[in-house]
Amino acid sequence: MVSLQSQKMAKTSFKNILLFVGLLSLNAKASDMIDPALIKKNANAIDVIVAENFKLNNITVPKVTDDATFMRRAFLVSIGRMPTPKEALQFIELEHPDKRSLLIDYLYNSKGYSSHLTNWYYDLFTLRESFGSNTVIRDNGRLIDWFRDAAASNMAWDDLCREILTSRGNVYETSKPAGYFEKGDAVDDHLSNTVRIFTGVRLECAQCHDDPFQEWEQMDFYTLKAFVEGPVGYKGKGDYGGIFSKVRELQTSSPGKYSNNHVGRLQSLLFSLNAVASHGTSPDKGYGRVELPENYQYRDGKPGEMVGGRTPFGDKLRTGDSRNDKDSLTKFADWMTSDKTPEFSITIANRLWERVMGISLTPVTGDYVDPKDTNFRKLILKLATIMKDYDYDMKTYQKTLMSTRTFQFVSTQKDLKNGEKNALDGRRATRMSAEQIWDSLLSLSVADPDSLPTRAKESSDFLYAGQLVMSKADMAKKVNSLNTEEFNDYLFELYEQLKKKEFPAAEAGADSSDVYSNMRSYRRGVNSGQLKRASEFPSPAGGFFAVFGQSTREAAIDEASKEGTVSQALELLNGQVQSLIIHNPKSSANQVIDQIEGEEERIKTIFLVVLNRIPDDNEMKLCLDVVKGAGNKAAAYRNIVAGLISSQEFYFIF
Amino acid sequence: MRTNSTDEVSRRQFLIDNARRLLGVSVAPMLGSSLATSAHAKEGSKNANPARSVIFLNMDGGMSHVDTFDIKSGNKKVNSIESSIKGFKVANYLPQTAKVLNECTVINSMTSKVGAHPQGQYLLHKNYTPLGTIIHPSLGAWVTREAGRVNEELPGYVAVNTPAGHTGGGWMGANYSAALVGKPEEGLKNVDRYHSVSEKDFNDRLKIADALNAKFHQNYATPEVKGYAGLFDEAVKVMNSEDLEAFKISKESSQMRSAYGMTDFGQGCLLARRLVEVGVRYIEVTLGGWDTHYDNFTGVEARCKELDQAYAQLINDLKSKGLLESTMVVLASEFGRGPVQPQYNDGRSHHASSFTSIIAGGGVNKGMVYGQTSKDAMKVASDPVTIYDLNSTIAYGLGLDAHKVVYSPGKRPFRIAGSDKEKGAPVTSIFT
Repeated sequence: MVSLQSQKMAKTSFKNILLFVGLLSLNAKASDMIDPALIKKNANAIDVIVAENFKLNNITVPKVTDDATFMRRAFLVSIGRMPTPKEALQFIELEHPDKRSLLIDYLYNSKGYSSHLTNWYYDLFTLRESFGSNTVIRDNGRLIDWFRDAAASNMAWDDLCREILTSRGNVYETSKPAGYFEKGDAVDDHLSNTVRIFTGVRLECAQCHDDPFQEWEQMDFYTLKAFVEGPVGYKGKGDYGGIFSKVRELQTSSPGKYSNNHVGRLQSLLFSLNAVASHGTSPDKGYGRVELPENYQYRDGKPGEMVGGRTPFGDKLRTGDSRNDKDSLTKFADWMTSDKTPEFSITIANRLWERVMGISLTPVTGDYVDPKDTNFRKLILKLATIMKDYDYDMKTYQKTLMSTRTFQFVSTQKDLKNGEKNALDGRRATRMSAEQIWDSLLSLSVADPDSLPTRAKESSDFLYAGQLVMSKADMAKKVNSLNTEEFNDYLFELYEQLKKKEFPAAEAGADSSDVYSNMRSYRRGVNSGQLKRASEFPSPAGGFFAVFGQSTREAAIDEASKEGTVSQALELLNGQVQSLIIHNPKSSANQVIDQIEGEEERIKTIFLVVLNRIPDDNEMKLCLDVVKGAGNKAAAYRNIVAGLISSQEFYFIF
Repeated sequence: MRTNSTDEVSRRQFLIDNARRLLGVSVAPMLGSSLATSAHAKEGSKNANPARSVIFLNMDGGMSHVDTFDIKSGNKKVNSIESSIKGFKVANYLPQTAKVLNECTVINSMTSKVGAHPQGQYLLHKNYTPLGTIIHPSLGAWVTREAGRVNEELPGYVAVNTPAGHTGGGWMGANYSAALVGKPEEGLKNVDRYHSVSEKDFNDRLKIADALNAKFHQNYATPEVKGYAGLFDEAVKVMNSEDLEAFKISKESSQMRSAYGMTDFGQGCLLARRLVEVGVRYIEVTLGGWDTHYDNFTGVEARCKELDQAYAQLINDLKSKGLLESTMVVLASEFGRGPVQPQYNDGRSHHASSFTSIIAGGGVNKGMVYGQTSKDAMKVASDPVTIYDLNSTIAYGLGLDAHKVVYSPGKRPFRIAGSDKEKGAPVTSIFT
């Protein structure tokens, strides 16, 4: 693509710009995964079932959207951002009978796809940069990196499930996603969330009591928990009491040897050693049996009794209660991903349907409902079949959905009445996620948002005060080979050794927490001041993202908020968007807009670039009035851009 | 000293509370509701003379009760001084606070089962234990929703120097989340026009956005879109509000500012007082750094220095402005610290089974000490108050029914008082 900035261009018309830009590689080579003919066939099959549904329910078949609406929707759904000005103008001007499927190919080949999916994984699997107590905080970077790779390589959903459920070992010693189950103390919550993510079944109430609203009993939770029962991570090493007694002795016996500052750093070293050594899933994870809790209150078991594993639905698998079963994690994953557990394929098929189509086939996102109890039995079963036929290839599945006519229906303007079930009569306008908003603003700010710097992987180096000690893997191995006493000795020995090498800043009174954070690596990634896509920020990112309701990724899945707040409105009216786009002559939006001659032409271009549609007569008149009434015409156009960006239409997908 | 620890009713209450804890809630009704509700309120009871605002001072990290407001004779490490409550001593780190305690009810009998920070702070703010399957709203969100806003132009809930995770609206949605202020000096962000945007520019922008919004709302009348109606009016109302000045502590005299202490916490307390004046319902200010595993006494002394000046000045200032009766000032921590020390390097460990909170204003008794701990400060000896009770008491103070059940969008029942299993009740006997 020819860069506009590098060319000396006379003021030109809209058409001329397009000539200059050159055609985007819209006809880039089609997806290399699955036969395009099969995708088309499946898309048609879906459309046929949807059409039957319309007939059955006597619903008027919705119209198909115009190109511009289709484009904006397709961009946001597949790669999580609106089109850049160039992409937008080019697609609108492109004359080709198959331009919509060319666009779909372009999008699913874009790097933006995995960026958008990464955010989805962060939310669904509640991936935060770190977790743990304030004494031993573990970096979650290895797991985050694994999920990022899974998104980039289009890992199949069943493989992903199997990998995270069965991987064991220290996270720094394995390339597998070990440590998935070790998420602080909330082991039971994490299990319930995991079951819900993969099967759509909610067991969270049964954690503590029989669920009065569903069929699940507390025993079901425990017999399922049996499969994944086991030690929580690795134990930290060392006898903290002994270590600090020794420090006190040293302080008394040789005053000056250990100032409080040094004690703080020794403590940091201790915590860091344990954070690295104890981070992972124990090799013993997965006993296959579990002890009922002390307050177990039902007749089918006694407090303290051992029960074996028994799957509560789907494929029937068991483990015994009399001895541990080494294969229990594998059995757990087998059950989850089994063809005889229909909840697995149906839940992911439904979740991704909602992600692409904007309409949930069940009353609550991600909940499993037996297809026969929904309006869409045939459709859901077909979707699950397609998903299985694709071997859980999520990208091809989503591409198939986007290739349907159903995807192209105009958004419905009808409000759902109380108690009315969702129909397939078009998507309803929903607000973009915090990440989609940020990435869309980027599209109006930089030429190619998908080529911005990406975040670095978690360092494999064990650093102390910025200096390499050894690899984290070696450190983990080393620490785990020591007994308590040896560890205590090693700690002091290593500390003395490092103390000599410490870099001057640490010596010059940086406090212990600084040294500690120097050792920790979660502050990685590109410079904080540099523009980057939402997926490249720390998770969660705070700031702008918190204002727009990004999930804290702490505990609950589907937690991101899309409600409006005054802080959001203030951010849009007076915040970063001003310097990123509106008052930035180099923003990708202004680079195009500023070249257009003629008041009406320029206003039209602003609408196309910002909202991806042309203004109606009233809007044109209003904007012309603003331009004509302004002393400073350039400022007037900026005001139109600002008005459009702060309008609610900008933030909704419809 | 006014304590009620010896009266018959509260001893029975202690029994009930323990029975409730050991056996589950259902026992209390069997023993007779008159017993169960003497010190703590009956379900559904409301305060007839409610306060208007709350200032919640969050001592983040676990304030050492045994080195501040619950000093035992065995504690040789801290010198105590007489306070303005007769016979009640506090640490000598708290000379100013000692003088204003006669405006306060000191609750020495706080107790909790949660001894870890994230869970403890979660409980303190949300009155539920983290569930992993839903995010509970903070008390400030509950209050804003149930009591409504006083000042319609400003946010109902403002949090200063407090992690956003503690102050969210949870399932109630972002509408009830706190407006966040980082540095008190910076006030609320983005309330001023961009530097090169004139008033006319700004109005032109609004005119265009308004026209587009009108069309959009007409064409896409979904609940989610409707939720955005009036949002810009709100924002512009905030921008134009004369009360926005309340966020600018620079408007205060330098004497007033230094009276609170030139620390984030001190200036945050000053900001809180200014926000109370203009009718903000719920303001939280956090003072961190109480997690004194190491070198406890240096740490506690340093925190107390910040706390002492700001707290005493806040109480005095509210009082002199006639605002103390309508403002509950709550000082609380997620737990206390272990009386037996040292842990590690002269530190103290987490200790949840006994700790201290203080409430001033809003109609609570002046100069009362409620409940006490055992001689070694390890346990609560009388009138236990759980965090559930404390939050219920704040709600009661504002005239809210802490037991009213509200349903989340997912149709799950919640109440201010906490879950069925561990639901609290307002401690009504601390009110005048």
